[in-house]
Amino acid sequence: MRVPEVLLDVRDLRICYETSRGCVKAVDGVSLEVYAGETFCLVGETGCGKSTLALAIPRLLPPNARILSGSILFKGVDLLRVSDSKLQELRGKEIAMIFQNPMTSLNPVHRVGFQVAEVPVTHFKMSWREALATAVRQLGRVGIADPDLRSRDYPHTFSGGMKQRSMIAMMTTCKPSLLIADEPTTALDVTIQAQILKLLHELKNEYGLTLLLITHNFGIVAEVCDRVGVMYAGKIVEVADVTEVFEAPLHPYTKGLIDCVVARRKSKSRLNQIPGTPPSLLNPPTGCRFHPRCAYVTHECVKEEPRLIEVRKNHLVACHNYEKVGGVSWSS
Amino acid sequence: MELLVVEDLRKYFEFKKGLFARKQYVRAVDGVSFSVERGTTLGVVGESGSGKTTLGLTILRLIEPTSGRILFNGSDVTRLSKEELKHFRRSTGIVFQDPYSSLNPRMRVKEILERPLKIHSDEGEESRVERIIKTLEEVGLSAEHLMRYPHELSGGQQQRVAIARAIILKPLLVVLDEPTSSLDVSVQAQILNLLLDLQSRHELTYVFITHDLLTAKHVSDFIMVMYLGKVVEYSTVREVFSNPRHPYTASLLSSIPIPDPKLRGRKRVSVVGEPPSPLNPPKGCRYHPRCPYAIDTCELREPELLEHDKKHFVACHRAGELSFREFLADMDSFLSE
Repeated sequence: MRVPEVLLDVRDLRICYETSRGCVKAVDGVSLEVYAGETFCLVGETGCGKSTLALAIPRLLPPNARILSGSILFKGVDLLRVSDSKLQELRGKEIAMIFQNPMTSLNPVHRVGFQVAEVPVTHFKMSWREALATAVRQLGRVGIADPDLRSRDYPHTFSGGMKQRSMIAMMTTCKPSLLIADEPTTALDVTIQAQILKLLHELKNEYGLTLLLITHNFGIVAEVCDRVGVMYAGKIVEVADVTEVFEAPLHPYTKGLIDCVVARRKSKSRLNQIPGTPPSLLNPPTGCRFHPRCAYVTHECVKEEPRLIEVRKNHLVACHNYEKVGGVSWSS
Repeated sequence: MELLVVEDLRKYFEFKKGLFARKQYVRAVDGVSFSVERGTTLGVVGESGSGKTTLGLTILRLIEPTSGRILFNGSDVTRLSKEELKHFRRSTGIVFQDPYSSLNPRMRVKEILERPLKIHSDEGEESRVERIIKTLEEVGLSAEHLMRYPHELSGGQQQRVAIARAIILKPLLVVLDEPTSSLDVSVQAQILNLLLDLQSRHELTYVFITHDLLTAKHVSDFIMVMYLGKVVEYSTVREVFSNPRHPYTASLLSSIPIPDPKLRGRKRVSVVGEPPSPLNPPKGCRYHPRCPYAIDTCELREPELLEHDKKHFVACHRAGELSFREFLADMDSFLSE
């Protein structure tokens, strides 16, 4: 088998937010490899650090965030140490990002076509006339009806789905290598969500993009991803191929999350639930961070933090007792 | 026995675009009829703008309907006197999507739960607190939460308080408006379990409003699918999920992201474009511009909601000839019980 080319290599990344109550370790020692051409999903619940990790890649973290250690290698270049001007060159051209709420990521005082055209003008020194024509073409490609007309409209006249399409158009005009999508469909209706996911998939194949998708929805993971990384309380607890994650999860948290998805349950039956809530990152539990909620907890878990190790081919897990965690107990 | 019967309910919101402009109406709920039996759950599903939230608020008379009848336990809610309305309020409850914004941030949990008791019963302080603690325990909280403010609770705990407030007066009917949508997956499961427990313990009747079809399937006995203020399909859970007759229902089911990577390449019923503005809905069948099965009749005439099989109501001109079974066969393990 061909060895996959590593496009993005995150190593031992630690990020904390300075707050009045102390240092919140949002990302705490995360290492991760994303291969060229794949769709990698980061999945986890609110506050697990998945968005912080995503924002750190193009260095878009808010001012109170501090990177304590680690490196993010993109095509061999460390994004955390590269100069601002070089980074500016990469953003939008090589690394693009779309967000959950398309309204707040489009500028309300500029026409949509202008905003899309700005990207090739900046990166390819294209003339405005040419760039606007490219913008119209790209808006048409992402499924905006009458792109010529609509490119002259302002974002507020667009529906949520059309705004997200425009964002995608903007972010793909330069055919970047890496597209980071942070919950791109969470604010959208289910039929529109299906359309947007299909569009992302098509564009990925057409342009040979690598897609880093962040979501909390296991349905979306199953629909679009090649490999999955599960995050919990600032750490990656499991990395594996998508089928492996669904059929033979090895971390109790992954198993719990898949188990409590309502899909395969008999109507009105009790759902398996994970007790409690995710911990505060101000003062996370000792040892394994999942141990207070875990059904497989042992003394070792309280004392010692498990490392993320490859226990099967291409299947990494951070759990002392992964051997006891069987497959998913779907009751179908 | 039917606890709630709704007949031809309409709620139009009036608005003007300018000072001298002509009045326009948003027909948020436009001629909706259904009934809910005691102890069962009606799942109301639809996308944003379908009128499902307005429907929930209107049946509790939290907003006044434009026309139509709402029979609760046999009496018409739209014509209640002040005294009767107070009694009606006691027999109904509501839980909203965002627990934080539905709890007063300046009140402690005790005060939040005491409010309905103060209004509706003349118990003394001591027995009120006793009842509050009992209710808190029922929703999985305890006396230690009494003096907390909402911001000191997690999202799941806040939603538990909101549920406690809705059930503390032992109502018959509870409207649940997206009660789990703003919660994390692991907490969603906890809240759904709680709601099902409470229902079987107190024989509660639920109207469960959601955009998440899999959640609706899990909790409901009957499903009503809404599109732009109209009911397009209404039947038992089993019928709607295994044999949908309306193209919109079928496309909704096709759009659900299914948590099984093996089903990726499955056949789907497509849907074109986005929902039109409810301000100016399409003529004829409101779904026709997005419907891959539309024929000329659909543009001209609005389909009525008719009974096709027993207890299976569909508003589609082609309901008799269309079947979506083959599209949904792959998803069977997820959609059937």
